[in-house]
Amino acid sequence: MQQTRRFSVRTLVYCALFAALIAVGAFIQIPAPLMDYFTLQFLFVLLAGMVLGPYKGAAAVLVYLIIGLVGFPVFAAGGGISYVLRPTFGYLIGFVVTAFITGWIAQKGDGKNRKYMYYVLAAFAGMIATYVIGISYKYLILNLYTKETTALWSIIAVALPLEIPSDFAFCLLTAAVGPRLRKIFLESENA
Amino acid sequence: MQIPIGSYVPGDSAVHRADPRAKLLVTFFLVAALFTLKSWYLIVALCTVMMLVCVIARINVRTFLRMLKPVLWIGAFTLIVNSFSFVGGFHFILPGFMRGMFFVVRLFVVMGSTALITLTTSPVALTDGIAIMMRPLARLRVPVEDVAMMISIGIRFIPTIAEEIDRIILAQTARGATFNEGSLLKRARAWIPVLIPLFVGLFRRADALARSMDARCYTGIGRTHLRELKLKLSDVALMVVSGLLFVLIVGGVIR
Repeated sequence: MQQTRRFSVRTLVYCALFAALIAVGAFIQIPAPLMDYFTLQFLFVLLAGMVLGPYKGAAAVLVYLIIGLVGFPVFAAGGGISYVLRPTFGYLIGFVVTAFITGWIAQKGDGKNRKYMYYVLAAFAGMIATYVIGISYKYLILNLYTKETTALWSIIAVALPLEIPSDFAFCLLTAAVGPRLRKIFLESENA
Repeated sequence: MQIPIGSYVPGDSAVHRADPRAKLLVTFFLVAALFTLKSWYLIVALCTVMMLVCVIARINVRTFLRMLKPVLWIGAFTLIVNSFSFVGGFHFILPGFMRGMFFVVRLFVVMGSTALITLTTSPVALTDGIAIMMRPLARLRVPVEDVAMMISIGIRFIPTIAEEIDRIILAQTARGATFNEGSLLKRARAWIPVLIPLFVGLFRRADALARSMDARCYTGIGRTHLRELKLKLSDVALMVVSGLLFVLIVGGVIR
């Protein structure tokens, strides 16, 4: 059988680690003012991109998706192949792109003076990617699959005001810890 | 923190013994068929089959229903939204109720059948099954064995991380940290003293694991397994029959 090898053992373990972190992130529920709670999942997705870089970060999120789709209950509401038909699955697909974009922009900042600005920009670009993919998927599923004709603007109006404040806070938080964690990661690689 | 990862209920029924690949494939066919389904007969038939499998596997009713809890509200919501009309006063509409019911039963079968896999298959068998099913992707230069290894390690890491987070939160609380007070930004910032030690600790663990895998000469190439999966005749039959049914249902022959 043909075999290919593109991951070092260390990369493999780190991707697995971040996949597990994203899974755990869905279960850490923090009570917040004005809404029920928010989870740390989005934060770990951003950090996967920042720490591991675009390709490995996206790979980590993909591994998380496979774990969930096979049937392990690691998504916010269970797991299994049927999750593909849920309106919120788009956010999970969006996470793969988010990790990639975040990692890609953040790495541009490596070794530059204004590193922090790159990380802030990376986090917000990632957030926008999640929203664009998540909301368009929700729109498609609601209109084509469940046949509940819903206007795009009504989905946006319902979703955004609830999600933006906490995600905004997370973007700033990851931009603060991201560079430090990246440094720790690179140092232990060379050790 | 409670993470329901250990949903596997050990047993020795025919359902437990079936090959994980066969189970995954059957569920995939089932979910895809339900996607196109429009008649009540078929959906009731599929629902009955699923419940029969439950009985054969000797799954506790309560355990089974607990797996379905996350979709309870979606089901109830759809049913209510469909059954009542607000146009020209408030009334109950039967066709709407039936449409809502159809959706709920479909959701029940879809979620139930996927839950059945994790209830009757051990995580190790499931990952092995997935790894073998992904093998054709190796031709597209996808590192299949590596992905399978990542899945195994990832699943193993989940309880470790949950434990670590709980421990650090307790430690920081003991030092006077608060997590549930103040504005959103303040609450987010409260997590910095948790995240940094968490990641430093986890990176150390990951490095130790990578080193010990290296020391044992893990390359991922030509990896052997302690328990090899073998397709039995019954597994092949199961896959063929479900595949045939799937084609007939999607093709509109059975309706």
